[in-house]
Amino acid sequence: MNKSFKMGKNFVIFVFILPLMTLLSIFIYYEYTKTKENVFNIIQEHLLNEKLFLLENYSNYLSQKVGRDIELKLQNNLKLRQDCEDELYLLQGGEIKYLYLLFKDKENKFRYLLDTTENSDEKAEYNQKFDPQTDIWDKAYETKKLQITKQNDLESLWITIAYPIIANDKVIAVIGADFTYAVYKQIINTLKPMEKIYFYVAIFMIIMLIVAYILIYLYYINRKKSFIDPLTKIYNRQYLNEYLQTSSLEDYQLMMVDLDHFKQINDNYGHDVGDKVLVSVVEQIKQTIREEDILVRYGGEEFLILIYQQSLKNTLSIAERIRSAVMTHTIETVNKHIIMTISIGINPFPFYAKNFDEAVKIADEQLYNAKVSGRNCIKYSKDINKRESQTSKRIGDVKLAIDNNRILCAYQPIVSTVNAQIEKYEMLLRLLDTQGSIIPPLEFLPAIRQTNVYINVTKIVIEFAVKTLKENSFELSMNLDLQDILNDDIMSLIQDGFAKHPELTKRLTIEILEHEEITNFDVIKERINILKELGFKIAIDDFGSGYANFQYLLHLDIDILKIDGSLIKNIDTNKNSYHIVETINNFAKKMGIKVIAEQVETVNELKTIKSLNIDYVQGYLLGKPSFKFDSNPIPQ
Amino acid sequence: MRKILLTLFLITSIYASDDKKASGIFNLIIKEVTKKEDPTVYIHTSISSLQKYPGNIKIVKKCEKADLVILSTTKNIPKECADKILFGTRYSHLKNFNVIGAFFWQKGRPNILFYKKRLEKQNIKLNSSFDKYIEN
Repeated sequence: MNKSFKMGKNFVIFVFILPLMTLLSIFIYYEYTKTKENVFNIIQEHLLNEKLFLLENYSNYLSQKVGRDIELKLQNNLKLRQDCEDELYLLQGGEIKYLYLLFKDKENKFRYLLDTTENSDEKAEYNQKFDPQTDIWDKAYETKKLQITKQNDLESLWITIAYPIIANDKVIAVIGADFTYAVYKQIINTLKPMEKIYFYVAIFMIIMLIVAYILIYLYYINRKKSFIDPLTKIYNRQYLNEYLQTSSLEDYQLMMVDLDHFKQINDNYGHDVGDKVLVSVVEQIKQTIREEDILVRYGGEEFLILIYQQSLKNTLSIAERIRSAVMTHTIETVNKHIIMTISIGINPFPFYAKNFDEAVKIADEQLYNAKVSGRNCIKYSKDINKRESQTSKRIGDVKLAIDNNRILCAYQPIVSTVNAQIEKYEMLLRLLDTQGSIIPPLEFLPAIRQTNVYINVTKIVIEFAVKTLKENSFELSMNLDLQDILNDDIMSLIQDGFAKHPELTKRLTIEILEHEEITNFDVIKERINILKELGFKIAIDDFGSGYANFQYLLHLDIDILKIDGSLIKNIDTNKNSYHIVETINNFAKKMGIKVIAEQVETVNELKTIKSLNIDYVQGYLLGKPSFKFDSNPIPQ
Repeated sequence: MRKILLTLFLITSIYASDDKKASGIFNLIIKEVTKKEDPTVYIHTSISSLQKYPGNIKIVKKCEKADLVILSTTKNIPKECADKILFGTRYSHLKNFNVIGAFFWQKGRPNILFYKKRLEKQNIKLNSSFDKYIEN
């Protein structure tokens, strides 16, 4: 019963777009800082290469000038020391903060030989001890190669170079160069505003994401609370409204449950006992239904159960189990043993209802039936209700079929009894359902009649007729309801459909079928005349059954008469049918009207019809309706 | 062990602020020089790092009560401090022969320096971990 809600647009934004944007902003920030580091590295490399070139030259120069005993010579010769320091100073430039010369004494302590620092507080004295913070100085001595280190630990310095001075393949001293942060800071200051923006955007997005998730969490907690009935801890009506906004009832059957004589419990034992009874009954129901079913407290003592994907038989069985479970359970209260019964009304087809209220209404009607039938029983709506409420579904199905080109025409041959040749084909409307099964028109036309969908279907049939006539030389007949030719829209469709191909009308017979008795022949006469003027032949379908009678032949200008299949069936053995058909045929002949016998299914029926000199025959014996034109031999 | 601690301290001090770093180093040095866990120190005239973060050091207002005197200048040192251990905070302070050693910042780096003879004169013997900071 733990039904989650379907994802709304906002949910998608929160769950996918917001984290995506946050990740993107973090990625941009990360990429920016990485690029910044790369830029620094390039600058550093450039800066170092430039200085290293100078240091190399100075190193060679000093090596030649002073030689191996550098510390002694510089100690003893103050002028030489001053000259060397002045020359070293020339290399310093703006990027190097401190430039000095160190040597390693016998105790392996580093000592200053030269120091170009101008600030007297910072300037080291000759032979002053130097405390190394890194091992680059020792390494420079050991490897005789320059060493570079990043001074992450010293706040005012950036990088330090230890450049060995070699004489006779021996390191005699090391030049120390401390690069300042000045350039680095300058670059940082230039790039910082942009970096800050990216940083703040990333932080903002992270905060937004966290806040959004907290809000979602709180929202759903509160929402869930608002959907739960505080007494029974099952869903309430509000949940149902919310659930139905995003879910369909297609997979459910609707059950309405009401506690019998519950008012007496409240009146006799008080509301506390009443509440206990409600909770107890809910427990019994919950134990009987499944996780995927939805139990809702719909009113005071009224509950709705949406039974998920079950046949009517199974739903009835579940209802019976619920009724039985409640009835056999004794509710223990203080000094009271209460046994409750329930009545259940079922709407097995809630999806076909116009809306949820209508679906509930049907279940409620059945619940009422259960109540008036003595309570403690189950009632459900029958198929008839289903069919009525299927109308809206059918309209939707037909609309979908139109969109998916699943409205088709089958063709059934009409054969001449004189030469056994196919005289024409009757077009028969078919709908293919989503599984590819053929749905006959009787199953969907009544639902769409009086709707615009019907007009659209008629248009498709007319288009089929035009196309078929254009592509073939045979004649066709097309069925229309008498109401259709009274409909201006359909008349316009016929006229417009054949406007470009007036020559085709001569090969098309319009078979008119009637469902109601005609009272105003004048109007129909007028419409038939219009059709005949356009070149169409007019046939009366299903003559001899329903309302199609001899009046038609007297009042209307008919070309063909189709005798109803109910008269043709067993005509070889049924004398009455035989005489009626004979009479119709004779009358039609006298009126100059051709006659077709339809639904001919046996050879004997065919022989009898032939003996009556009926012009044409149609039926499964001669050819079944098919989407391809029948080429089977015609039985003689 | 002390050597490791001192080295570790000098390395880790880089992550602390300048004042905290300096105070930590002062604490190590003064404890070693005085051989006391909670030494008393007189500051002449002002050492902001130690005053801000004294650590285990107790700063006294009178030189008589001090185990050690830390100098921010060698000028006008009170007479009462004459027989006390003097410790400098600049390289130049070492020019005063009564100053046994100094801790100072130069070129952005911390430097510690003691003179062996001056330590001997005061009967101060430092742990071997301080050897590299002692000059003959």
